[in-house]
Amino acid sequence: MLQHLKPTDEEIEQLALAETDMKQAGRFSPLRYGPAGNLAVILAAGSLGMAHALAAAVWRHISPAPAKGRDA
Amino acid sequence: MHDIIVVGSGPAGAMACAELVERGFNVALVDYGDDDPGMRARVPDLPFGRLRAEDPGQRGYLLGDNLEGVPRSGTRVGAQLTPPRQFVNRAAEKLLPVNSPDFQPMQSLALGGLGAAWGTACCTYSPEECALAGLDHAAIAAKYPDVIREAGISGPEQDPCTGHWWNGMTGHQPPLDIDTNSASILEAYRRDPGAWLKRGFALGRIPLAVNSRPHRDREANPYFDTDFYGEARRSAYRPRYTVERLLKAPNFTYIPGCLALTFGETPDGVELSCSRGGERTAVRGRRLLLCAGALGSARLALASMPLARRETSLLCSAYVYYPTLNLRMLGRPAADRRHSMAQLMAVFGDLSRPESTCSMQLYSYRSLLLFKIIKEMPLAPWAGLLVARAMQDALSIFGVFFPDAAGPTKTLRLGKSVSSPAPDLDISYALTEEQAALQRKLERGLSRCLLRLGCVPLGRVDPGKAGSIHYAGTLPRINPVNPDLYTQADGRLGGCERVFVGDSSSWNWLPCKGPTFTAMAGARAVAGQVAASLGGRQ
Repeated sequence: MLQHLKPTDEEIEQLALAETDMKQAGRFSPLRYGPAGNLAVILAAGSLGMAHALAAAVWRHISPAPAKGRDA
Repeated sequence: MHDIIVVGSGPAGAMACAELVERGFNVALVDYGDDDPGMRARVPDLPFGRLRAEDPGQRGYLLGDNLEGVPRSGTRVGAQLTPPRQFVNRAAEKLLPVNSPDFQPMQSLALGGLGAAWGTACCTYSPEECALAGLDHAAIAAKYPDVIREAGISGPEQDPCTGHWWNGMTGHQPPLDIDTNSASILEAYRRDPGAWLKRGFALGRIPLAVNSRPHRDREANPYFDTDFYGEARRSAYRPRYTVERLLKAPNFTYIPGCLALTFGETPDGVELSCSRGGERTAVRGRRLLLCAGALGSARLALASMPLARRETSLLCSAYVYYPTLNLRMLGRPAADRRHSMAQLMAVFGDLSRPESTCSMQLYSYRSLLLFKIIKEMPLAPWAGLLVARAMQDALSIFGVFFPDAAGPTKTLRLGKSVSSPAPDLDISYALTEEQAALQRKLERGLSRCLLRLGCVPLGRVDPGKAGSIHYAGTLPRINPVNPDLYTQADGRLGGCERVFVGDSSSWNWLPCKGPTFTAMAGARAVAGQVAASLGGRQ
């Protein structure tokens, strides 16, 4: 189940290209808001991000054209 | 005719050549020798943070010109190789075919073999471990200092913890600096090491074949955290450096481009048959020393020996890794000055019984790149990126290795030559139920230890049965699968007068601790036996 929520190969490729573009280096720098701040970021982004990934997986499942780059 | 032909330039082959050349023998190293110096040269001599901020050509070596460094769905053996390291298994994937539904080993035909991508962890084996493996502990221990001298090894002083993997060693360099993240874990452990040892958990600094001081023509590690991409001033040992040094010796010949296929004993020596540029060629010597790795040496022996069954045993450490969040570091800045290799080592289990322990290596390198972590998160990419950035300073990865014993469920059989001049290998490998139960038990205990140290496991990644890249036991002293195929106590291949086995193929059992350092010492010990068979001192 969780496997289906992971980013697609296409999405990972886009991230990899962005991460190795020095103009976008700031997007990938560490966040340092103290222990409570970083924990809050992890919890908030984790829960919202999982809901988003679940909605995207459902959409992929019901939409007629399958997303490229995902294993069956 | 050469005095000795050595097959394979990996850690064992390079060390055996060094031993034999130093003793004055005429040595020929037969090797395929794939390499990619052009890609290596593209990595600037700069800290990782600076090259990320300043080098417009970074994508070429971080991801590869064809994005070959972007792993696709699933986790496979070899996926961890960065583009400048992908030459390590490039030729082997075409020329050394393996058929197996679920065991896909990493093999190498590179200059330096698998040692060209070695993680550099060095471990001594105890007398108990050597006895289980069928190794002569005294002979191995006598050769450890020669390996330290050749490779340049930095390591900790011995204490009750490090003594479990770095015992009795002297003459090494001081340990490398530890990074902020790992230092906080070690500090937590050192508040009460006695209690941890009672739980069967020993944690400490790891010896590495990486210079903390200049050594011979190689410099000290500059703490650039680029060790998995470039060569960082040649500070991490690669067997290629030994080969390059030996090339200056008049009694050493390097024969590249050769895929060794079979050997046969002649009245006055040994003839090694190879494929070179599509043609068959022969190399002749008075002795042959097989150092082609556990799979490579077995492939050669199975193709050459008069056997009723062309089948043998196989050992491979089971391996999993745990990405963890070190709560002590969450939201706190980690220093950028670091190297990429393992920072700490641990052993866990019944510390008096090597069959019932596992070993761990802790990594916390920044140069992993975030997209590889985000790939494993069940989150939308934007959220994965935020979570990864928030965890970046506190991410610790524990790689866990388990010992392996031979048995009828772990076999390697010689097939036909179909797509390559070299024959196929058919591999069938399954852990016994007893081994699987021990592994589950150790992993449960280990997870509890990680939590007590403040490291919360975020998942468990199993890269597959061959994922450890620790292979051995294909030509063991006692072969439970094919008793006709074995190695004698002096390293001679059973049934042969002039053929010796210098790598981990000859081991009966595989400890949980990394085998490379001991395999290098073992190769030097067998080289001494080869020398003795030619009238030299042992």
